[in-house]
Amino acid sequence: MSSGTALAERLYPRPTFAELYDAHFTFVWRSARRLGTPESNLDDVVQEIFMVAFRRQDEFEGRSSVKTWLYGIVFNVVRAHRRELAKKHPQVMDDERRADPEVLVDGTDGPQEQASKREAAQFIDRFLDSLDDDLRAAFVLAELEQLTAPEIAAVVGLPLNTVYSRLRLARIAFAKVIARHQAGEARRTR
Amino acid sequence: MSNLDEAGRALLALAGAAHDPTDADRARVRAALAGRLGAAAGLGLGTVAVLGATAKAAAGASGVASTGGAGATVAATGIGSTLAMKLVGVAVAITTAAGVGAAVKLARRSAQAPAAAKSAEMHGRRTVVAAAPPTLPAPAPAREPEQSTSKELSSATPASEPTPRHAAPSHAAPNHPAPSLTTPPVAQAPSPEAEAPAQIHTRDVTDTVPHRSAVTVASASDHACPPATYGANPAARRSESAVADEARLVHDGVRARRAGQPACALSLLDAHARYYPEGVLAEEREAERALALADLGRLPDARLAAAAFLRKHPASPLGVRLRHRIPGLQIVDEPR
Repeated sequence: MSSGTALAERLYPRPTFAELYDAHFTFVWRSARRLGTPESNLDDVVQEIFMVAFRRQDEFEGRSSVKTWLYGIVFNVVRAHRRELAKKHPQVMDDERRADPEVLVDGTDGPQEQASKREAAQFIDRFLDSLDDDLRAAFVLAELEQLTAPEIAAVVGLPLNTVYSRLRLARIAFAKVIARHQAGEARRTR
Repeated sequence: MSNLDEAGRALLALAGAAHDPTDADRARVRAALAGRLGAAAGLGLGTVAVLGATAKAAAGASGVASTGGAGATVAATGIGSTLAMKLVGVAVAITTAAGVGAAVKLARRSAQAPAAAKSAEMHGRRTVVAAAPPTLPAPAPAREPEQSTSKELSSATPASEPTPRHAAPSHAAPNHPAPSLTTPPVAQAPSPEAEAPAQIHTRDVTDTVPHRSAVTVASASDHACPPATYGANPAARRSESAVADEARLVHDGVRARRAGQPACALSLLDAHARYYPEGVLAEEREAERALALADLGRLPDARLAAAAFLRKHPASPLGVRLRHRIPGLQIVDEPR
């Protein structure tokens, strides 16, 4: 075991913090945003995530993957940030909660066929904003970050079945939004 | 594991990389972290990376954009390397002055003819920034000696590129950057002399920037604070060198502030306000001015300046920095 560990260490030396940053900055930034960090706070939150990662870097030894470990930190920091935000500036969260994905794309081309990536991204953002935080996390990690359900369970620290049920609910919500949009499309083009 | 229907899947794929960070984001956060964590984090090369990214962002801002990732190559034709240095000097000056966020903004403003590039054109010279080859650069060396912020602009160590934006491979969508959300416009090399003889890597040029006495564009010494030497010639202000003059003023102001001389910074920025009230860099000047006031401890003034800035430029990326840096500026972004 120990010689195996030593071999692993030699073959795959533990990344330095700088390497960790370089390798994972993109997904940390992206996930922090998708999990609901307002753009104006993104710098601070991403910094905080890496501060936590720095403090805890010894933890990921022997863990399943650095990435899953980092996702856990992203998830927790963003959640804490959103709670604080909700306390301090409830109106921001209320506005977000009222977000309706339909509003944004109404009157534009359908997101599936013609619309630009930007519109698609806005559509998704609106949809994510309309979910509660639990469903949002499940959906983001599964559908946008392509984590498996067991990985998500590890990240959010919940039983696998809970993850599955949240994921199911989020997908139903997404399907409804898409269906509603398609219906709107059909009406407009008739 | 997923059972979304076609339409939903297509939509998610389209939305793909929309929230990927820019190189400027990466460098900015890195520099901030290096500042907070100190040498222990081994992020020292972040300062160099900032310069590299800054130069790249500058290239984007001058309308001759580089695609993110690998280092852009500046090719100066006919004139040789001095002009290349000069132009990059201007670009870097503008970018540094504007802050990285502003560089991104400038890049977004691609509709407006970029002033720096224009001034180069008016000299009848051409600069081509060729897009970097699609191959990705070698990963940044993990450890570099830690450099303090004060050394930030005088470092002569080779610049390390930040690792490519798409290093993290983990999402479903195709990794094409979303159009115009964050990436600078794709490089165009309109010059017929594109096969220029002299090819200078931007980062090499960047390295020369600290020794700007050798570069025509820069004349102010690092620590002197002589606003009178700027914009003194009204003719120059109307000429094509006005942009360079502006950039110098704001850039030196930024440097002074970062070097812990906020009073000097303020006088330079005020000089800019006098000479170029509606200059190309007016927005950056106002933001920097608020920061300099805050550094001076004049918080009420800083808040006023910042609030005025935010009213005038509600969509400016520099606003984010003001909100972060100026305590008591209780303004929350509207949700999108």
